[in-house]
Amino acid sequence: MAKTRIIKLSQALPALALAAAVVAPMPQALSSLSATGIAQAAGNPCAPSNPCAPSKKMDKKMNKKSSNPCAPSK
Amino acid sequence: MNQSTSLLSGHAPGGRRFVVDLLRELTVQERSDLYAAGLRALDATQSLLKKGKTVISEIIGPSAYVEWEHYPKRDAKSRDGALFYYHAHAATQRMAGEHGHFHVFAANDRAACPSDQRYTHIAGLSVDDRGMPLRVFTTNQWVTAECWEDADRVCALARQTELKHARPHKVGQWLDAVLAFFRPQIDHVVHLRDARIKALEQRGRAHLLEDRRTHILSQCRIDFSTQILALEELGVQAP
Repeated sequence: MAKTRIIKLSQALPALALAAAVVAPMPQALSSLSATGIAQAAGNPCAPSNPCAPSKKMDKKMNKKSSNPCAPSK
Repeated sequence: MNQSTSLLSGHAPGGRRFVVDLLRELTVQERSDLYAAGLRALDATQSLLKKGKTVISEIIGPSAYVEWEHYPKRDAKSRDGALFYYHAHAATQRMAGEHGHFHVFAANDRAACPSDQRYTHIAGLSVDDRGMPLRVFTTNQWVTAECWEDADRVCALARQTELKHARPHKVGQWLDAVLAFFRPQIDHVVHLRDARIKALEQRGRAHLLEDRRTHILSQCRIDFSTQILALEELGVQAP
């Protein structure tokens, strides 16, 4: 069966909303035990925490301890 | 919206009127390209939804979703060194309705970049619990430990960045389309970032890029419907 040709993108919005409503919402993130320490590290760069710093093999432990929360993994 | 308020807070004004005004600054061709990117973004979103998936389920997979963890664990990397990952901050640090966000980085081989910082943050992209885009934002330098570039250079790097070859491919393709569709807002928050830094420094804030009190430097709410309706209000049509 041929698809109905969409002339305007806005015509696709109701279908998108419907499809999104049918999909179950993803569960929220579980708390991380290290989150408190991470938050503290943000205010104190010498504290051992690093929420989202690069996940190097060499320094996996250090990864959680540095203070660059959104740096990419290396 | 008071311009100085926007500058000091880093919040771009929201709403359809702001989006129409922002998109009106583009050329006819740029608006047409944006519309095409919108089509790709909607297609990529729908193709996941039709399988009962979302961009979030695609990137998290069967793993437990835990605050601060990176998804994928070691980040998704493209051939040219661009990379992205998805994660969530602690609940108290998330914006209302946010499930988590992507961080997208361009490779940056400029000689002045330290050897362990050969990347530059393009933007963060917040999504809701069904993977629908909510916000784009910029982060402070200490947050990402990146090679810092001015707004024009960040925007240029963003245009060179392709994520479709990074795994998971469907997420990379989705990000390419969504980031292209909201390119004007990304350009806006990146320039707002620099303007805010300048404004705060003029008010006496020193060493702002290392200031642990400031995580996010600028942000702008986004959504598919407002972007599409704004483009159509400006007369853009599907090719």
